[in-house]
Amino acid sequence: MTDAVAERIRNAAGALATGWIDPPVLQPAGLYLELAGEDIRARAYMLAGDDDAAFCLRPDMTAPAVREALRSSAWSSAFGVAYDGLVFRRQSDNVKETEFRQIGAEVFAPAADIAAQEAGVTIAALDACRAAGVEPRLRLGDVGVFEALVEACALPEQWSRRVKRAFSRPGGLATVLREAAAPPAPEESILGEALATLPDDRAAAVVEELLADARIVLVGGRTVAEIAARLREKGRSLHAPRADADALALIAEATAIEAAPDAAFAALRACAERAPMKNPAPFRAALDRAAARWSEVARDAAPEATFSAGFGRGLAYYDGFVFELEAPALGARASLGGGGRYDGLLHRIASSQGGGPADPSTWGAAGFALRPARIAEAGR
Amino acid sequence: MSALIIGVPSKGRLQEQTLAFFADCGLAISQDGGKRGYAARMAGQGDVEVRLLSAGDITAALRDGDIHVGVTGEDLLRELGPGFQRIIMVKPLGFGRADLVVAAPAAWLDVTTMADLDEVSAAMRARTGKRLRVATKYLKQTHAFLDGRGVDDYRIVESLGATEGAPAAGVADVIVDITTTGATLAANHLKTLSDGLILKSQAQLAASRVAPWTPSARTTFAVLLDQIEAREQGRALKLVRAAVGGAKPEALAALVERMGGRLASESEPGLFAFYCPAERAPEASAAAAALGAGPVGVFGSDYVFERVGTLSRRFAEDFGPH
Repeated sequence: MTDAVAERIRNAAGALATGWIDPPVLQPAGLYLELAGEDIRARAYMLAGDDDAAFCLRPDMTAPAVREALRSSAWSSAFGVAYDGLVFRRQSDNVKETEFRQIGAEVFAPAADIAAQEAGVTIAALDACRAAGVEPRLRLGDVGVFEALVEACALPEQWSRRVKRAFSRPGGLATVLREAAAPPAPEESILGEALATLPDDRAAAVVEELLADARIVLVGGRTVAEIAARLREKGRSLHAPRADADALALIAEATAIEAAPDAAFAALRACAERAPMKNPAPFRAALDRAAARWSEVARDAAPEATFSAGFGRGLAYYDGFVFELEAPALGARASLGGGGRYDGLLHRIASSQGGGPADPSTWGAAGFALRPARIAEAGR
Repeated sequence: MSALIIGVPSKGRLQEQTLAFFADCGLAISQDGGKRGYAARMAGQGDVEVRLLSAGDITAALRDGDIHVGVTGEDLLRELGPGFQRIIMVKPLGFGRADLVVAAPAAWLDVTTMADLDEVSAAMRARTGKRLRVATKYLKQTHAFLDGRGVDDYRIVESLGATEGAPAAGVADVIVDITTTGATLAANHLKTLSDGLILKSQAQLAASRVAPWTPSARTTFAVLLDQIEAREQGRALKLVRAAVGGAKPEALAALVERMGGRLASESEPGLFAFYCPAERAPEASAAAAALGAGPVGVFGSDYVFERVGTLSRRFAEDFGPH
C-alpha cells in the first residue's frame, strides 16, 4: 500500500527536479544548532563527538538537500533536486514515530524567477496527495505578509524587532503584546543618558577609559563600540516613544485572522485601511503577491484551504510563503507534509559551506516534503 | 549481605562536610582500608554499606539504582533531566552551597538583565548570522532557563574544564556555571546578571527510586533518617524544667504554646517540663519564673526522637508502597 503511494509521490517530486539526490544520514550537528537553536537537541538524535565534529541523524531533508545541491555545478539557471529517505526525530513518549520516510523536492532559482515557482511547488505537493487518493486540507501562511504588516505599523525600532522575533515562538506574540500594554519601567542608565549626548566615537572612547580604569578586560564576542552604541540606545530609550497600543492590537487582530484565502485576504486588506497602518503600501503589495499565488493554485487545483498571516512552520527555516497539508481524518492537526520558501537558509548554508552560485544572495529556494506513511494511512 | 548502600563523596570539601555531618549525627563513617579504601562502614549500622564515590558518580549511581542513597549536589541531580524523576531529595544538608548563574562579560556595561542578554543575542545573530555562545557543563538547566526567559538566539558550547575561562579564551561569550563568592567570575572579567540565578544549590541527601529496595533496606534507611532528624531536633530544642511553685498550670500551658514549645512529658506532681526552640529558651524561662514557677533550668539535648519521624514518614509517602 505505502509502496504504491510512495511511487506516486516520487513521480510528483521527480517532476519538479532535474535529478535525484541521496544526502548522508549523518549531518553536522553544528549546522542544525546554528539554524534551529538549542531546541534541536530535544528533537534530533545528537551523536557524541568532539564539539566541532559532532554529528546528528538528519531530522529533516531540506538542509541536507541544500548542502548536497551546493556541491553540484548546476547553478547557472533554475534547477531542482528530489529526494526519498528516512528522517529521524526524537518524540515525546506517547509518539512512537522516531523515524519516518520523507519524499520531496527543492527548487533553486535566481531571485527574479523563484516567485514564479511557488505556486508550482504547492500544486506539486497537492497533486502528489491526490494521486495517492487523499484530498488534503491546505493551510497557507506567508512570513513576508507578516513582516510587511509589522513594517506597515511603523512601530518604534525596538518593538518592531521584538514583534518579528516573537513570530516563530509559540505564544510569543501574546507575550510581547502583554509587555507592550504594561511595559516595565525603562531601566535607569545614567551612563547611557550621558553617552547619548556624545558623538559615536567619543562615546566608545569613554567606555574604553571606564573599562581601563576599572581594570576590566573585554572578553566575549562584542566590541567596545557595540557596547557604547547600545548604552546610548538605552539612554535614549528612557525618553523614547512607547509602542502604539492600537498598532500592536491591530497586529494581533490581523495575525489572528484564519479563513478561506479570499476571505482572509479581504479581511487583511480591510486592516490596511485602518489608522495605525502608517505605511500600508508594502503590506498591500505583499498581500497582492500572496493572493496571486493563491489564485494560481486555486485555478489549477482548487483545494479546501485557509490562509493566516500568523501561520509559520515548525523548523524556523521559512521566510516567505509556507504551507502545510493536513488530513482531518487523522486528527485535528495531522500533517501529511508541507513546504515553503527559504532563501535565508540557502544563504546561510552557502556562506558557511561555500559552493553554489557566485553570489548566493541573488538566489532563492523553495520546496516541499511529504510523509508517504501518513498519506497512505489517510487514504485508507 | 548489606541491606542499604550509601554513596558518600570521596574527596574534597564535600567529603569533609559529609563525614562531619554523619559523625555529628552519631553515624561516624570509618574507612575499611585506611585513607585509600573506597568502601567503609557506618558506626552502629551493621547492614549499611558505605561507598566512597565522586559526586558525579553518586548522581549517576542514584539514577541507575546502583546505590540506595547518596550525598551529592542538587545542581548535579537536576542536570539528570528526565532521570531526575528517579530521585527523591530527602533532606537538604545545608552545606555545599553554590549558585548556578548566568554570567556575562563585566565589560558589557549595557547588559545587566536577561532581557538585555536576549536583545544582545538577537542583535548578534542579525548582524553576524552567529548565535551567542554559552559555555557550560549544565546543558539541560541552561536550556530550560534560557528557554523560559525567551532567549533563543544562543548556542551551547559544552565545557569540560574551567568554564569561567571560556570567554577569555575566545570560545564563548557568556557562561552558565556554579559560583559561591563570585570571586572566580570577577577574576575572569565576568559578572552575574541581576535575574540570572538559575538554582540555589546545596548538598542533598537523596534516594534512588530504582534501587533494589528490600523491606530491610527501607527499615534501615528509616532508622537513619529518624536519627538524623533527632539530632537536628536536639540542636534546635532546649528542655526547660521548672518547679511549678506558685504558677498557675493554665498560665504555664499558655506560655508553652506562645513560645512554640511542646510539653516534654506527662507532668510529675510539682514539676513542669517542655521543649522550647533554643533561641527562645531564655525568654521562656524568664517568663515562667515571672509567673511564679521556679527554679527554672534550661538543658541542652543531644537527640530528640519523635514517635514518628517527619523525614522517614515523608520518604515513605514519596516513595509509595513497595
